[in-house]
Amino acid sequence: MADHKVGHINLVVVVSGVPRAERVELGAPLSHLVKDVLKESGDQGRHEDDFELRTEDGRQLNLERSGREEGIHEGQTLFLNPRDGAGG
Amino acid sequence: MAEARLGAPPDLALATRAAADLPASPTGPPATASLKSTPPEITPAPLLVPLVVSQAKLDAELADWRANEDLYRRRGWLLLHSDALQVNVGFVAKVAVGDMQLPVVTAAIALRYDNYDLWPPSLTFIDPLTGVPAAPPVAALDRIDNGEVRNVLLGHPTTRQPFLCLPGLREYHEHPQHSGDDWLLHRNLGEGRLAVVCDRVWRRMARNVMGLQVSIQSLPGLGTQLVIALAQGDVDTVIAPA
Repeated sequence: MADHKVGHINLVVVVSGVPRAERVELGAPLSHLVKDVLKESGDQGRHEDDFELRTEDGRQLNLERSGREEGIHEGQTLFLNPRDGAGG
Repeated sequence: MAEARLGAPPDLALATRAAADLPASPTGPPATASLKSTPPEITPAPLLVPLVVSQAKLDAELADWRANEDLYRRRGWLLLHSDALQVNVGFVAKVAVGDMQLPVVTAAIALRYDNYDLWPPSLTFIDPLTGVPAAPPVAALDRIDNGEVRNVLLGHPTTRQPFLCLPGLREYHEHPQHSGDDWLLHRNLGEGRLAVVCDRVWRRMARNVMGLQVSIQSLPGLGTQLVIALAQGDVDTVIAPA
């Protein structure tokens, strides 16, 4: 359940296929969430720029914006995967 | 804000041709093989990683898949088959046909995990019904940072098959033009993981499939040709009309 007093919500972040429960502050930049997730998943030291965060429908989120600005809501599932660059 | 584009050619310079007709990426390796070539001769891979190790790693991937199965199904990712070292996945997109949204398998892949993860997985496009190699009916389009739209579905000079020219896949790292970009530089990022590979395929070959494009061409000596193809576009810039 969302904690409205301090603006925290609970999410699931699927990190390269592994689901993780996360609690995030809605007003903080999403880069903070990515840093925390990488730390908890054993990828500490990796730069968040090497990863991209997307919604279930595939929309890429701007890590410099807050969860509130990106319309993230309680119980949502996000996907964190390594950025794949240009390819080709 | 982008204007509504439904009913007009979508934004990604859409793949309205069969994948077999697509040229190589301007900056990528040349498409030296036909994308409609015959199936390759399979050469057994040397055993460099104990079978039980590769199998255990794939089993872990499949366990993670099952934990997310409902999410993946909503994205249109369907697990078609799995065995000791191979997983087949189909990607379904809803395609607008008149007032209907028809589910269409826009890509199906077989991923081989032999010698994983000393080697990256090998990706082959397959017919979803038979499992035999087959060219997909769409391109693999994505917009890169400078705004350019790039198709990473190319012909591989060694396998003579269509392949995704993306790091984390065996065909990319074995391509002679990518000999300087070794798999081991990518392995620790998890780029060969099942969910990561599927995400990359889905974004380029299913998520961006929006509808059908129908064209008629009449030329002297060639008669009249009717072409019906899946239309791909930049879904993030499309706004449904009121």
